[in-house]
Amino acid sequence: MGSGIHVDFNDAAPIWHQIEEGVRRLVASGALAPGAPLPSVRELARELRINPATVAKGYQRLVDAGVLQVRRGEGTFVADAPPVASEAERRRELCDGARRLAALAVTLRASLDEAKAALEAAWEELVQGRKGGA
Amino acid sequence: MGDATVPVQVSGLQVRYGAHWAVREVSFTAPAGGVYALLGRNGAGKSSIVRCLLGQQRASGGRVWLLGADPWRRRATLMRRVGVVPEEPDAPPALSTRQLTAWCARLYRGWDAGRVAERLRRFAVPVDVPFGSLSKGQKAQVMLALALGHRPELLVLDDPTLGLDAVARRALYEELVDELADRATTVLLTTHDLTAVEGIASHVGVLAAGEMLVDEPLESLKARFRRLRLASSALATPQLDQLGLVTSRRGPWGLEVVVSRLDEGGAARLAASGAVAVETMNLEEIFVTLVGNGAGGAA
Amino acid sequence: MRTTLLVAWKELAERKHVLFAAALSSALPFLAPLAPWFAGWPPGEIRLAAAAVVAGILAVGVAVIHGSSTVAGEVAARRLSFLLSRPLGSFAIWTGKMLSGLVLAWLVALLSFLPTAVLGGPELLRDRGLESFSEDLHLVILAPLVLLLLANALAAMLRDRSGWLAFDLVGLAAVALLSLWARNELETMTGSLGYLVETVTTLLQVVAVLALFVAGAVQVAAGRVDGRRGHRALSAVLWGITLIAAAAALGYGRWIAAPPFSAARDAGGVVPAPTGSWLFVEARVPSRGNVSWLWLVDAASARALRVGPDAKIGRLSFAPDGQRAVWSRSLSLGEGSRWWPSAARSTARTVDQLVTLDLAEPALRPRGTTLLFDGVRDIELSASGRRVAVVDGERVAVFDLEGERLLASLGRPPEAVVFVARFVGEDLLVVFTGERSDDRGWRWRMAGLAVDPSHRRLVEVWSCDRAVSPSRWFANAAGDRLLHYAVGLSDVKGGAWLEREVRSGNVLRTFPSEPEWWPWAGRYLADGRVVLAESRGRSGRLRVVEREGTAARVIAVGELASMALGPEIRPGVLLLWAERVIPGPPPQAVPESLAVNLETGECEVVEPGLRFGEPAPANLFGHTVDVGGLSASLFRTENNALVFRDPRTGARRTLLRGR
Repeated sequence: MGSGIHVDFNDAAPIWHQIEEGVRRLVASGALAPGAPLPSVRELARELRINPATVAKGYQRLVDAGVLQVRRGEGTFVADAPPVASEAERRRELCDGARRLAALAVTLRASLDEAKAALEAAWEELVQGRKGGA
Repeated sequence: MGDATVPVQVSGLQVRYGAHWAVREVSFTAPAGGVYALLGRNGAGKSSIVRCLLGQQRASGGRVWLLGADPWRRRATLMRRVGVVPEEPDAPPALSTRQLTAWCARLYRGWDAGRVAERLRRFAVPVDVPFGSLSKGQKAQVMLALALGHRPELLVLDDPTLGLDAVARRALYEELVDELADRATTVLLTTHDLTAVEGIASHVGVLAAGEMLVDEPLESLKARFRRLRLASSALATPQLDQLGLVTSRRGPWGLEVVVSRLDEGGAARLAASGAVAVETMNLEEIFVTLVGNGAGGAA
Repeated sequence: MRTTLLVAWKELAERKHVLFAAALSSALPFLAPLAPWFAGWPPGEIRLAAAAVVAGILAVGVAVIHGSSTVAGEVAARRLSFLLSRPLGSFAIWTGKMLSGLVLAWLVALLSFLPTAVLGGPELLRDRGLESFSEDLHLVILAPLVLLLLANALAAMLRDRSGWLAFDLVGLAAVALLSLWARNELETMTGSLGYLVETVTTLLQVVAVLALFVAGAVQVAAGRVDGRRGHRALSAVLWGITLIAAAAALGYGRWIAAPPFSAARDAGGVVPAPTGSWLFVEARVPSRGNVSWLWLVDAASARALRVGPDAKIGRLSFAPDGQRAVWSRSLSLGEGSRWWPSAARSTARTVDQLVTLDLAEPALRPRGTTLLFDGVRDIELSASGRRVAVVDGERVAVFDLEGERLLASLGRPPEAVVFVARFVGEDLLVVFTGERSDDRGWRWRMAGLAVDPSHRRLVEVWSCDRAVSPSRWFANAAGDRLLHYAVGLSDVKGGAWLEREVRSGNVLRTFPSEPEWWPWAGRYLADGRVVLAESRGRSGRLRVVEREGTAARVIAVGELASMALGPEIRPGVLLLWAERVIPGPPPQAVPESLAVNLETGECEVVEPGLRFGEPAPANLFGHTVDVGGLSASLFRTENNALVFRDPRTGARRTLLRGR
């Protein structure tokens, strides 16, 4: 998909949350550079065939968090300096992700080391990719 | 009693055909600006409810408010503010789309002829061909265009994608999304096209045999339903009941249980405890679990 | 209104192909003259007739198809929801649909007819008379509406296929039954006059059309997308309204049919019994349809019996003792269609039944006999009241009333009309027959017919061709002599009163009229003397002749324009009905009743301001002696009130109020 955002109805997370996460991921990975324009609510909703209110809610949360900014009459853009999340929030989200990985690892009967190795590999890949992308 | 700010309010509605109860004691509310999806199998009573809401049919019992008024008595006035896409396209087959839009333009105050024309052009509906000779998809687009032409506050779609192919269905939903993006129209939608509606609906009501099984925001519905795969007796029955046991069956990979009272933390704890696989469910799966009654088949 | 027109526009636009078809079919009349079986006919006429037929068929077809499809059809096809989900009121939907049907039917008729009218010759239309078309115009305009509404109701009933159809059939039967009953009720009274029947029938038809319209509106408003519910609503309203209307019509008919005597006004014909206190009165009931009724009233007790509607009661007669009455009642309800009151019914022959009533019985119960006749012209009871003579279209016949059996009869002479038959005694009938002659109006024949029960024949024992008008004859109290006026006699110049022996017909005495004296009337007194009333110029006189011989005493009665002899109030006192002349200018004739004392020659005006009860048609031919009879006590006022004057006390009582 052109926008690079996917919505998975099988995911327990609400769709607005998935959009929020997706945009954050794109911004974090540099796929969306600071100041880059985002698809309008209407475009994204139409493309994903989801309720525009849902898209708007995701966008609004990102605007509130300072990740995005709205320029009246022009549209929505990535903020010039996307803020780093607050310490508590960062930790909470990190823990959430870790819990998900841990749950998966337990289900797969993987050892902690195996899980760590996988995490490191993913890390490497992401950092590499960012450099390549930039 | 009728609240003018609530587009659709149904309270204890009953519809009876002779000895057959099509709808028994159904209550729900579609909030303003939301998309309420009324789901149910064929014959679950969806169309009866819609007809009562539109003042086309008299309720056998209970009450119905449309934009705060009694639709049976105030049908004609209410229809100025409501757009309807019926189950079967009911426009006069002998009239061309051009005649139909011209007729509607004279019927409604504030008819948006430009938008209607643009919408029809986008789908390349031939405007001089009799409505009866159009394809199903074109008919659906024309019905939607006619329903939206007067900028209704409430849009009622009674199984609009019935009999449409995938392309036509997709086009219709795109139009609907467009409309929602432009004007936060309240939508009441009945369908069994669950995948398409999942992204659009804000609220869902699930009907089975004339009774309402579920009436809540889609988000909360999805948050509380989980499928658990258990290795034999990892969880005791009282524990499952506490989690809101909906169904349990023996699947190819052991016991499959659907519970309806699970939160994110609980799910994580269960998953961590091992011996239990916790899976999220999409709307279709939840629907089938609720309505399928086991005999309805797997998702 | 706007929404109605919008609905109508949509319906018309949907059916514009029908208009094209109508325009195409307008060519058909131009082809009609080419058809071989019309060879030799004037082509213009054929075209016009064909155009009318095509237009009629198309209009009827369109109305029926549109009516049956536009509501019930759309409900069945689930397409009525298109209109119901727009801001259109149910009534606008209904009226719009009906309006479009009407306009379509009219347009189709017009389109198919127009080319013939324009090209085929306006002169032809002019020849045929545009009026003849405009006469049918209301039919052309209204018929599609009625057909539309009927088709809609029928379609709603039949498409539903539910048990309510049985309810519809019951409703239809009930409405038809009630309306027919109501019609019968009214028709029985008004007979061939029928204005009430026509009014009620027209009203019922209008109500039926209105009911169809209202029922259709309710069908749409209450049924909406539910065909069964719509059918039920339609049926309930349709049969409700029409049943109420039919029941009201029936109630009205029965109310009209049962007026009390106190509501009667304006005495028409009055027939007093020769003795006793009963009389027949013909009087209208203005408060109940202004139907004219015949009543039997006892002047002494003011008891009254409604004999029947005047139109249905034919001739009537009292027995001489006043204790029995007989009349003929028409059984025919008229022929021709029940439904179209305009159908000619005047040519229908009537079947009349003889009804008798014993006035001596406390419960007045008329008894219909088994004796039926083809148009009774006259009825007469014999002196004993046991025999009845009946003149009908075929014959003069005498029956025994007890056994209801024929005693004797005589066929009517061809060309002649039997006007009157009177018993003299039990065994002799005096019969007047009239024949229209070219030069002098009626030619009369008077005859004595003897009853011969053994051969069941009436045997003519004597006859006289010189008799004048059936009103100028009289029998004496004993029934052995009669007096009548005759002209053209061989031995008398001018006219003369003849006295005949009843049995043989032999002339016993002749009382010639003096020149220029006009013979008004002649009668016997109770004591057998003869009184003749005559006038010359304006002076009237009575001649009183003794039992035997021809010597006469003359009593002058003053200036009179006309005179008639009434009953003998007391022996020797005779009533004289006269028009008294009051010298002008301008001279006026005032009706007056005079009591003339034949012994002293005194004339006294009786009850000034009142007239004697006018002799009713049957009594016009009164011919028997009746001393102190009821007729001497009945008076009428200027506005036809009927007043009874007690002969002993002189007290007056109004029997029947005036106009």
